[in-house]
Amino acid sequence: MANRTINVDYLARVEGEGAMHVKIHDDKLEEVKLKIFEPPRFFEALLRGRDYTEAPDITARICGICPVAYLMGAVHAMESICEVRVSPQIRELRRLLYCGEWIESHVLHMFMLHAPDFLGYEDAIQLAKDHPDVVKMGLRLKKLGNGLMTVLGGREVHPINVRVGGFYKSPKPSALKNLRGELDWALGAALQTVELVAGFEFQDFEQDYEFVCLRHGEEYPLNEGRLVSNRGLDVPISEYDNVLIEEHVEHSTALHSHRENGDICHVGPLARYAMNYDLLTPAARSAAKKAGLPPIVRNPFRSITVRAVEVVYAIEEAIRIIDSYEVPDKPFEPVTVRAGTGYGCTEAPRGICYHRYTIDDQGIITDAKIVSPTAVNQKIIEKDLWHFVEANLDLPDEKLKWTCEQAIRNYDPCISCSTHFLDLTVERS
Amino acid sequence: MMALDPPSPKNLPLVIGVGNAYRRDDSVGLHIAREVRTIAPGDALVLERSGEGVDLMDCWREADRVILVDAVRSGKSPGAIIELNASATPIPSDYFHYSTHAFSIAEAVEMCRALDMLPASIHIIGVEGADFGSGTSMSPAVADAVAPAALRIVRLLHESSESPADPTCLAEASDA
Repeated sequence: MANRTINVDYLARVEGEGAMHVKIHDDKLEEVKLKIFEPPRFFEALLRGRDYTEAPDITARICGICPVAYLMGAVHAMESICEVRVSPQIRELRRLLYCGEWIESHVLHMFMLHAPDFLGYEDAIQLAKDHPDVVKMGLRLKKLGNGLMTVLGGREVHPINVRVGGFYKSPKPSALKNLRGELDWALGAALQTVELVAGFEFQDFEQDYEFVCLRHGEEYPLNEGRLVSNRGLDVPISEYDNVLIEEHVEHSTALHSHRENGDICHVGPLARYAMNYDLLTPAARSAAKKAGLPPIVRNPFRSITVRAVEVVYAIEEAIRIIDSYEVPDKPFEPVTVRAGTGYGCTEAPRGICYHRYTIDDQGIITDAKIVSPTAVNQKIIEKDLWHFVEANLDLPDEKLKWTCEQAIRNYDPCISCSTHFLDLTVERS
Repeated sequence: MMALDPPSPKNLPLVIGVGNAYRRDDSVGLHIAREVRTIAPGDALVLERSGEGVDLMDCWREADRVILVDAVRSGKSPGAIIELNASATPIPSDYFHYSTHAFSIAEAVEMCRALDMLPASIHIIGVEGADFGSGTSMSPAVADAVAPAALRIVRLLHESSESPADPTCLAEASDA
């Protein structure tokens, strides 16, 4: 009976920390667990008793790389309760802010965290020594994302300019125009990035996923849409709790999610792309075609290319919004508090981010529920790992370990949204 | 009277205080930067930043001389002041734990080194933190380190001598 144990004490290049355990007995895979063991941060409990106006800024602190997802989830939920309709200009500015977050987050993941996997480097710093121009391009693109976040949100991390009803202050046209030249450069750089990452060598690994995401119908989804899937799901976001069920499992302090029928689903760029391919801009769709991406991508290792296509989209969308920008008459709509329950669900860079709040007639939050995309993806990450390890048991331990980490990074997990420390253990016995 | 241009990083040394004002001891870099601004006005361009890596790289892009100050976790007693000359030696990777997707101070400095974009002189002043929980007040030992750390930075601004290449503990907290 062959016994092999593989341990990785720290999985680098993901946000936050957790653990993974793979157990192989007599060349048979017995167990795969993505362990998230940091104590929960109790944001939902923290929100109870707070004023509804505080929810955006409090929840934005859940994550340093996708705060806009939390800001937007909270404001949309509160506005649905208070029956606020924002002006078209404010709606556009929110999309622009989200474009900044997508650019910032996707570029960081592609260049700094995921590209080293494909090119065989320990990290982006080692990668920079051999490919300085590639890394410099990534840093400049990320800086542009930071710039959009700063102009609209007041700063690049944890923006402070978003409020229920709109923004505290509208950006000056000149501040947005200042970014215009850089956006022109960025579009070229983003197209180059698609070509670059499409040339990486990918594992031959396709899965039959149920892709769950938002679909708006008229635009590639950022802030709004119905909850849809490639297996027939099509409901308003207020039905979220009926179609995505949370459960506690012993090895994770972040709740797992599954569909109401028990099926495991996949959220994130692959899902958005599969369900909204027709809504990409012509340039983004053409870049995808040129990169050899079909309209539905089932290989998670190719998510890096889909992210690159989404960066092209985000840059084009940012250009469109800036070019047609008119300063709103007022930066925010007045809000009259009403009691009720409201829902927000937006597309964070790594997938749908769901908020549900109940407030009383004084605007005090009495109940809150927030589900991060990484929490939803925990089960599909485990399933991917299961299928990948099972099909590759003959790989040497080091290679298996390396590729398992890469498979986890396919999801750009933001474990900090629910936890911190990720160790990877593969145990063979 | 003709308006004067603001001092540019090219002309003045740059002092960058890094931290999060709402995570207790993580705010010490910001407090020290403010103290430097108060006791040595005009001696340096003093900035307060979140520590986001690309932003830091952009801050020091034009600078020849940079002093970064932040909370660290190196295993010393709370309030200990640590100095290292990052121009000469890599930053221990576990010094600055709180990152955004693992791209913060250490990564920004090392990335610049790899890309040959590091300022000619870059020093790090770290203050050992104890409590990185939510809140605006610092631990007493960490708060006590603000003034001596600021004085050390001012001395660095006024002297040409190089800091030690290896991390050196300049001062232990009085209760250590």
